[in-house]
Amino acid sequence: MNVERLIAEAEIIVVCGSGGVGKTTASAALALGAARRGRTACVLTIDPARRLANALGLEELPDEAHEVPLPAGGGRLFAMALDAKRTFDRLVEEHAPTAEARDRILRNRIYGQLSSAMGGSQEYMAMERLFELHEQGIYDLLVLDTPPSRHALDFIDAPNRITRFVEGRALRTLVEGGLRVGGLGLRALGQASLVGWKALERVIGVTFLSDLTEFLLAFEGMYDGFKERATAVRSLLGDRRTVFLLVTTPEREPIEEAIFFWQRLVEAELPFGGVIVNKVHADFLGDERHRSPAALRRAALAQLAEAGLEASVAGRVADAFLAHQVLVERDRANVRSLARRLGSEPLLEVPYLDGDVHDVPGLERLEPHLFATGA
Amino acid sequence: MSLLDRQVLIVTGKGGVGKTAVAAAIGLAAAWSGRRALLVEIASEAHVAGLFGESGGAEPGKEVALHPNLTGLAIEPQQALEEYLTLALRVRALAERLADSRAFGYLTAAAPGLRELVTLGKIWHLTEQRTRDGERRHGLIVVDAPATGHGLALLRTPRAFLEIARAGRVHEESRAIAELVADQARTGIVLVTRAEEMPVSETLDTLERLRPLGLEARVLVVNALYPELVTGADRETLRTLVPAGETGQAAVRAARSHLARRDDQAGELGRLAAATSLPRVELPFLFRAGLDLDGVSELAAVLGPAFEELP
Repeated sequence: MNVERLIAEAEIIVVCGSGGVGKTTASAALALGAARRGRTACVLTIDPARRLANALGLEELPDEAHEVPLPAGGGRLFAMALDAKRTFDRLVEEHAPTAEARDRILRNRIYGQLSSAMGGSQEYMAMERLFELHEQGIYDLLVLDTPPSRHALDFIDAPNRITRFVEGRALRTLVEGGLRVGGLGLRALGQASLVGWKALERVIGVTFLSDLTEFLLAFEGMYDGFKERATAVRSLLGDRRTVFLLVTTPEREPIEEAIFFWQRLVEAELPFGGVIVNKVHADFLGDERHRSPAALRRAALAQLAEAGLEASVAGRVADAFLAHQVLVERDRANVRSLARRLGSEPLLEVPYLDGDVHDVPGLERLEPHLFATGA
Repeated sequence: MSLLDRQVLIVTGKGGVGKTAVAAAIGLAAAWSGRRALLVEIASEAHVAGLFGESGGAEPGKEVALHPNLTGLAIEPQQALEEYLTLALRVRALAERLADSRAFGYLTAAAPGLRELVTLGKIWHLTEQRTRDGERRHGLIVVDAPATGHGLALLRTPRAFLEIARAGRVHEESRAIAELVADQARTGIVLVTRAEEMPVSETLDTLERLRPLGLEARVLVVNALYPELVTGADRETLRTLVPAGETGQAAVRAARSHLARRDDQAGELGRLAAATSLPRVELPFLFRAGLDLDGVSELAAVLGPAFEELP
């Protein structure tokens, strides 16, 4: 994988992967690398870890870009913590046909839940904000750290889902069903949706349905704007200015998630840049020789004794060494199998660094590994 | 009453900390102690069954035997929703028609949390199940819940529904579910973390965010702690030691790296201890190629006695 070229050409990098693999740090290090190469880069993240957030100046105000002071020269680095609710509110404000419609939506209980708690809404809003910032054209490069979860894939569908959701016709059927049952007697309805509505009412209760009806009606004037916007977001994500990177660790479960993710990206015809395998245990032996643990232990003990190390200490050092080699072998086998499954797709291994990465100097330690030219 | 005597243990934590392994180990420990345990995961495919060498457990909604006294069940939210509708409407054909209808698809998209609610509802329903003799069918239900962000959303849902559906069956059931989740005699929340900066920060943050929900974690499980293979006293010796051979050098570098990681973990454990007085159970790092039944058993051997001691 040639991250150097990727950084030079892309305007948007979307970083995906399952939780705990180091997405946020990788995203921040990519943005830092871009800045050091003279670009104006901004890393967008949701819910960053506290110390990294602190280091990037993200603790002050959500949804606002902060410049991260860099030691010397190059371009500029910005960071922003996304706030899903605020983005959603802004979208409503922008697309609501009247001030009254806007207020009705913002006050609605269903909307309150939808904008802050609904699975997938965070993901969608991240895309929305990305689009907004790209339109503004302030930054050369935007790096989006996607929310870590099994829902992470939802953002791919989100524009479609939102489009489908707010699409006029089917919704109107539902809404009109509600109005009719509510005694408002609009147009005649298909029997099926009426039956469905009555059944729902028995289960869910009338208040809930009337809230929902109100919400959907209030959205009435916004369908077209939303739909247009969602289509534009989808087209930007599929564009050659955008690239999707996957981050994983060399462990089985995150690799499975990465493969799943990759297949979804390919299916959705989104531009895939490659996989970053983070936290790979370094093989201090250097080459790939296959010696049994017992043989390695013997060799290590002999050489440690030669160097004058006391036998008990040497035994402990050998224990730590063999434990480390178990992980080296595990990582190697897993990365090999990942590479095989990915075929010709680019893959980059990043070593597991000693010491947590949670500040700018830490990112600077990570950066050269990300920008190394991989296979 | 020990922690293993609860009806439900909800296991959550930041992604990647080993929630599933811990949930499986709790289930196994409970089974070892003679309790009937059910391991529940919320997913479209069962992963947990694989840990117990079960390949046939991938079908959601179907309870599978994993081990003596231990069964597994994957709850797939959409399926649970349809199941719920059938139950609520008492007419399968109507429920199916409804679930298939486009309008219903829009409703579930528009009604945030409905899936989460039925998922919890299904768990509540499991706690209510009785055998023919009137005994509770499940002893301990261990829930491998989604990672904290969505896990919190799951726990918040019943209360949110009390607010938005203010009458009707859903309201009544939301109340029952909310009560189950908040009842410390029946339900325990287990927070899993690792001794690393981000998971620890997220754990502390989660503790804060549980409070306004009227919820409280019972225990912190700190997973994957490195054993002390090299001692702090060896540090000075290792700092300057350069053996002649490549293998010896590699061994010294691995030992130094081990010390550095142990230092990091000690620092994070200290941060956790300073910030919360919750009981802590510490699990060893498993130097294994991947998680399997042996690994889960190793964790269960530590978790079981520790949970047995906890109130």
